[in-house]
Amino acid sequence: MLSRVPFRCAREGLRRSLRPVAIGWVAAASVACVGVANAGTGSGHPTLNARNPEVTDHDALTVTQVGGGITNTRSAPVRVRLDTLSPEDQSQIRKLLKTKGALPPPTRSDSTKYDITGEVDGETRTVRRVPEELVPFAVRSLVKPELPGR
Amino acid sequence: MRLACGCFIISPAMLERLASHASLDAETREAIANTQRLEPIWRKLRVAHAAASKAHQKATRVETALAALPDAAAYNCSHTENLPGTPVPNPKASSDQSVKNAFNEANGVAKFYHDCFGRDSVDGMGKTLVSSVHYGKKYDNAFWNGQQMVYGDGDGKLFVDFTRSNDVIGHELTHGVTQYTAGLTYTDQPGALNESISDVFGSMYRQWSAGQTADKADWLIGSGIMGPAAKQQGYTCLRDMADPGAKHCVSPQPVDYKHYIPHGDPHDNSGIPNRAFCLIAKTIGGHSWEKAGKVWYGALTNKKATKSMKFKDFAHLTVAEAKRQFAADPSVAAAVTKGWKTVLVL
Repeated sequence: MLSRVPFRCAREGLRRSLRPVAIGWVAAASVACVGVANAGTGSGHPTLNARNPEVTDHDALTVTQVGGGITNTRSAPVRVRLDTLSPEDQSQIRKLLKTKGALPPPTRSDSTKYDITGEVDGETRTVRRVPEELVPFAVRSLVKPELPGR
Repeated sequence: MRLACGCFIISPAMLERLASHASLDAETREAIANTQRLEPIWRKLRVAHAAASKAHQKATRVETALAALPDAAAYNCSHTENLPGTPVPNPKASSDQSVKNAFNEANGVAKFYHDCFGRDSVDGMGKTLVSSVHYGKKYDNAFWNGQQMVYGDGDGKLFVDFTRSNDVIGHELTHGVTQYTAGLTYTDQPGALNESISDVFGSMYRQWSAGQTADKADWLIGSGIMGPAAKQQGYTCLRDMADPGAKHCVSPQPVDYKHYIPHGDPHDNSGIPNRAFCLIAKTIGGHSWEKAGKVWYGALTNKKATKSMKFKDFAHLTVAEAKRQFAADPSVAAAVTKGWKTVLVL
């Protein structure tokens, strides 16, 4: 048992240290594809998959920043392919989409909020005003605030 | 997943079901069972901590006007989301302008609360003011997380470094003051009041720092953090307390209670009490923190202030405070009443 502990710690440490790098690559590659895909689909929603623009709700989330935070800014909806997210982030999103009733109150006053739509258990669901703390960074980093139209 | 406030996203019932679920391996089931065992302990600790904090506050209430200013500390997140980050030695002399701003302005806000309202730090008991800068990558926000202030660098286009606007720093620290006083919940009218109180004291801090009178103040929130792309399009601030619906605001707001947005974001509906305060301070005249500010602070710290109070409840408290604090000058209470009536709350 004792001999397993250092190995497991080292393995976990390596896995954790590699994960942000992997997410960074995925996010960078995904962001690079947004403009191309959006031009191709004409759906008005940027998608993160240039080769296959017909991404369904089953494959992707629609994420929108809807205010909150001292800036209280909104964003355009962004399509985020689920397979670009880590298993942990996918699991967190699935939990959010399964949430029925009220979400837990935000842990901080100035929390930015997101609307998230995706498919879970064969049903398309939307959770509204999800506090930033509950949204994985890999998802949030793809959503950019916009100035209001005038 | 455990949330910082001690609230849990997964219910105990769900944990119980998972702990005995046949599809999970033994190790996972054991981990879930351990979590399930720990949860009630966490909950008891949270309740005990809240009770202990209250008892401690009662037991150690001192004359804060004579107390020294609280300590402040600055940390650098180095573009990660890990809080508080790395401590910065001697932040006052730092070559990093964000560190310097956050540290100096946090001290400034502490002095403002101390000198104007006799308050010793956000908790009234000298809590160290912790500020973390360079949070996240191009993070377009600033926040109080229940324990400390956190500032992003902005994306450089819409927003720049969030430590550049001293009213933003006053705003964030005031969330701490509200947390330790009325404890306003963060939804609907109490949430909008929570936001408004942060804007009110943030703006007052800016005016106090500049020695401005109410009629000379611009009453803008976040004017120092607007980036070049925002300015190019004519946006000069996040919010305007004097004119909440103005086109130069990134986040325009309703101007009176007739236009209240049901279930709206607290940052939207906060425009209503913001405008009331601005009108009242201008009607009274002079420095906003000397009369209107004292009335607002008195209402926020009043024993009758509750975490679920609505606009009207707070308005009545401010009128009562104006009558109590300025009994010899009925024009103050009259101005307070008139301000709330103008925004259709009273």
